[in-house]
Amino acid sequence: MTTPPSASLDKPRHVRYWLRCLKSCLPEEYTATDLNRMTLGCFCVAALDLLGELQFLTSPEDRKGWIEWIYRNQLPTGGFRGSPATDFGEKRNETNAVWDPPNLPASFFAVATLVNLGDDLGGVKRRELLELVTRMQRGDGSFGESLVGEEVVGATDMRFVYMAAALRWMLRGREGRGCEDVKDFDVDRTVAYIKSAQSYDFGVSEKMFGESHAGMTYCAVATLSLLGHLDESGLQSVEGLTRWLVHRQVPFEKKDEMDEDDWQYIQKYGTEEEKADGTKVELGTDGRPIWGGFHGRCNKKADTCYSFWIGASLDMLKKLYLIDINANRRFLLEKTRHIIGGFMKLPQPGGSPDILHSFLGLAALALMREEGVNRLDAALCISMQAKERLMALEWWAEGR
Amino acid sequence: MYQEDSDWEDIIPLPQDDGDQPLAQIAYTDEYTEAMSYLRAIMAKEEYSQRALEITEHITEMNPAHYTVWLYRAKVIFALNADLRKEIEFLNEKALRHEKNYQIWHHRQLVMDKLGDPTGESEFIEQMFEKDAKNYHVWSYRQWLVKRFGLWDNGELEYVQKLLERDVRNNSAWNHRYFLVFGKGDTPNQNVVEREM
Repeated sequence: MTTPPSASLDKPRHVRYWLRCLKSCLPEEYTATDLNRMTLGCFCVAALDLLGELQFLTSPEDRKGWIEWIYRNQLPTGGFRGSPATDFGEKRNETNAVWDPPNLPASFFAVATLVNLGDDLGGVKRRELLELVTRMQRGDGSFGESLVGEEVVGATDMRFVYMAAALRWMLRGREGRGCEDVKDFDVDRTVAYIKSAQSYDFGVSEKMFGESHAGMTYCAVATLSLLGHLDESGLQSVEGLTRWLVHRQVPFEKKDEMDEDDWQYIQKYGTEEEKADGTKVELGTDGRPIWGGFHGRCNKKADTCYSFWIGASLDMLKKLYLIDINANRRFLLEKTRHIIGGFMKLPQPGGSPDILHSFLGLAALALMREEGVNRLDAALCISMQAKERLMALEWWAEGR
Repeated sequence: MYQEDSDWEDIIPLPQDDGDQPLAQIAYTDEYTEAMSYLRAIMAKEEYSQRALEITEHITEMNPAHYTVWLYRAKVIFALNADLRKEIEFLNEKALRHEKNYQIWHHRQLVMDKLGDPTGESEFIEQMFEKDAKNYHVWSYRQWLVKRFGLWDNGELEYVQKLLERDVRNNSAWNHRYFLVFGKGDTPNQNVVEREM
């Protein structure tokens, strides 16, 4: 039996999905992500940028309007909020300002989106934001999510470490020399935190003794890359990590696209034949699985977003060639892509695409040099053109 | 509706200002829009009262990932000297319905840290693992609980054993086992080594 030819990226369909996300209201289900609208906005803009249509299918007025919205969410004291949910407007004063705090992830996504939209960051309170980043570092080298009054709040978690490192890279300019009178955070301490979070199986977790996790690993690898420590200074074993990353690719089994309840039923009451059929892996003429996505932790299900978290980590380690690119690509383009455009989280029937998985699926394809998709910088998660534009800004290039 | 509620008649709601061209605009329900306007007004007033507690409950039901409202709720709980056990029960119910939510577990940690008594925690965590034995937030919380209350020898290893017998491929359980052996900081003695082999 010959392997069926692989699908290709249906660009117009994806472009339509992203334009809908940008120009019309997101459905009510997104209420749970209300405080993260900055993140959603970033992904929408970045996706169109990767598809090469940002300049053509959005008007200068549109982009100017979005830039203004982002700046509306910059706090007078520096840093950004994730959405106008806590904007007290004229009622804001010195004391209630604690309830409208700067948020580290929101600040990262705000700056990244401004860069994507072609803004020169002239309106960003760079010094104040860099000061905030430094203040949000804890004794163990990790970072908080937010600053409520004097208190650093939030989990001890690799994600905020990444946001801090990315903001530092974007805002301090060449060789990190910019705003030199603003105290830098303790880089060595952060590197030590990351090193301690590498698990016994060589994946990286949220913190020491945590379970290794692809999302956390991406944050760690990207941080080390941005801080110039992606080697044995920041990792106990680079080779071990590489192996862990590569082993996260899993062959697609028939049960992966079955309804969860149906598969549970077969496992309990099905015939031996039905059970065997569920775990069947279809092989191509080259003897390798046709489809193979990535999971985030050992023995979990393959999910679109891990194609990015793992792919980007390997890309930064210059080892992306070690994965089965075809199988990964086909998993995305044939199993989790959705008929209305975008990507679903899982290859489940009746699922819908969501902004996070749709963007990360596209980003994963960008890393694999998918035709028609612009190149992506794995560490900053913005297009190469956007990154180059940032680096060409006078203040950035001169390290001011 | 807060507008018709006499308990709220002194509050002027603060509507959300999204400007002319918002990014990622969401089709909120009227209920959410109204509640958020009243929440903003209460927070701007820095009121830490019973009705503030009630509105935070309402908001977290519609948007359990509103991280600021959870911080605000914590402040209200501590200001009112509210019953922390009751808060844990409230969180139990929430956690069972919003499994993938991280804020709920972070809030639980703040409350449990103040309460200072982990009675009942193991049992509830077990309930969560019945639903999903690999829930990352819950495992993370369990590690914190063990460290905070010194529960290293409190049946942890036995529980991990039980989970592994059910599913030997539960990576989270294996990881917890590693934590139990090495997490205290002592070098494992010969008995432990033999047991683990």
